[in-house]
Amino acid sequence: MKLAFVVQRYGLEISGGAELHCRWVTEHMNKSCEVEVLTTRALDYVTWKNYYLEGRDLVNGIPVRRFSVSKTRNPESFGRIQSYILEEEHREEDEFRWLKEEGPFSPSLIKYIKKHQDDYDYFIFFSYRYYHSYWGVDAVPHKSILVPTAEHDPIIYLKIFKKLFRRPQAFIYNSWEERKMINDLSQNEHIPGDVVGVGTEIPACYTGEIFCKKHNITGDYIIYIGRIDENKGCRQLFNYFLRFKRETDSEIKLVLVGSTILKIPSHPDILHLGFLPEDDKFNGLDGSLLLVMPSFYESLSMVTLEAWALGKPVLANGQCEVLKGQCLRSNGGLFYENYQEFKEALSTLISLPELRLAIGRNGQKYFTKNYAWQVIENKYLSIIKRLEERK
Amino acid sequence: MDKKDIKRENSIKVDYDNIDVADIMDQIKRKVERKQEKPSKEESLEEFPLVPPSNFQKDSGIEDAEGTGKKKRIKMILLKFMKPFAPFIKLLVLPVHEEIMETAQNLHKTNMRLDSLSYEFRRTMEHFKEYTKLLHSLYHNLVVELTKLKIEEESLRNKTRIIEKDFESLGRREKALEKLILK
Repeated sequence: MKLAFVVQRYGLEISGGAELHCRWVTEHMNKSCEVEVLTTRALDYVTWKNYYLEGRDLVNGIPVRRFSVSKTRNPESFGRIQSYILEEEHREEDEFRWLKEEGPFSPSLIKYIKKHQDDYDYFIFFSYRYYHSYWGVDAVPHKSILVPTAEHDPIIYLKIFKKLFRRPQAFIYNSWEERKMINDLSQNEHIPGDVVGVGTEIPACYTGEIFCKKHNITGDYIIYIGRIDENKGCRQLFNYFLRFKRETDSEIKLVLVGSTILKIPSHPDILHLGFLPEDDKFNGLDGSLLLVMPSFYESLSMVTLEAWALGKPVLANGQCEVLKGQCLRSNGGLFYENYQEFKEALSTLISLPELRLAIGRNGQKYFTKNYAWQVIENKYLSIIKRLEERK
Repeated sequence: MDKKDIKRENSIKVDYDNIDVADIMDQIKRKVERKQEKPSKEESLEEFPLVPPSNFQKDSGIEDAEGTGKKKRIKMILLKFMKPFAPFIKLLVLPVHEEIMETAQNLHKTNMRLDSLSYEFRRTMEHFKEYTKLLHSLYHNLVVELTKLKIEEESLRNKTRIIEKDFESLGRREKALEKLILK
């Protein structure tokens, strides 16, 4: 059985999102199948500028085939097209124009898939919203499995995606909410699929004490890990946290881990540590009271799973259906939909260590049951087995 | 466990053996709703009190500056010098102080109003969402019905055409029979 994993970017430098998801899954599926990654030469997800060398490469023992991006993305013209298709009445051609701008525009990758389709048993496409997935599924619908990694954003309502969601042979969803959203949108319930998600790589040893000592942190803190961006709900988090500090006498600190594209308010209890290596990140999680996840749009939230893997409770933005659903299913976190709820939920979690422990334990159980690597691998294999039986 | 913790535990009931996040969130939401109802009742009954809200704090930066070495000593000397004038200064400062307190109170209330407005806004948006879904399904049903009607129209048209042809051939037959009879 030979599987091709098709993804927009691939490399050790890429530390999050669907690309890391794809890399981890590929590395684990390598145990039971012959795998190969088909991707572009891009590293930067804004411009898709060619960075890696064209042709064959080996990443962590996985064969990778890279194809050139023929046209880099111009953020300004892309923004204009996107606003047009989201706000105005438009035709299908306009959506294809948007898809081409969205990129990574690599016709050579699609040509390769078409030409060498017989060399592979299945093509597993990651991220529905990019050029490679749409035209890749279009090229080999009878051999394609789609991992949509879809968030509830307006792009998913484009007409072209309704068609896309009816074409693959199977789906691998990240969450029940994602599955329902795609089913409702395209009435594709007849296509087999399963909610799988992704596991995580936890270091053998981690401790919060080292983290606190290294970064000179005293007292209790809550932690946010990820890109510090308005789209991730960070502005709202800052406003809520500062108001929480004003209205209560709490001495809690907010530790931020990740690169920022947002101005962080200057406050003695908001500590921005920048981008940290993996082991440091896990030490930080271990030392924290809880992980706060303020994002409005998430397809899965790998960092939430990492917190649960460590037995840490989560305080999530309830306006994100996936995070809310995950908290309710796992009983591993509380959520908020406005400031008052944020204040109450955070105060409750801070003041009740027993509750933190119990919720964290639930999260850990949920993680072990659903996101251990063996479970993930088995789910992928069982989907492939179902497709084989249908042949 | 301190007093605050006991109070918190009293307000949110948790079954530690069987944690139910949905239940905890319901309790939190109910608590928030109760809190939001309270100030709106008070608002209509009483004027703004001239006392600062309990959570109103001095700027921590000023506090830090006051607390440090030399500045502290200078402050002590100045305070001694100013002591005889204290009642006069207090009298001068009183209106400003009252105005600041009133502004702080107003800001606090505005904040609360904004929160309740944003809550209302979200509820309205939810209604709109439901309404849009209904419109969507209505639109879908209309399209289905129109398609059915179109098909029916087509078949009726075909039937009419057949009947017209039958009618024509009957006409021709009638004429032929007439000719035969007249012969």
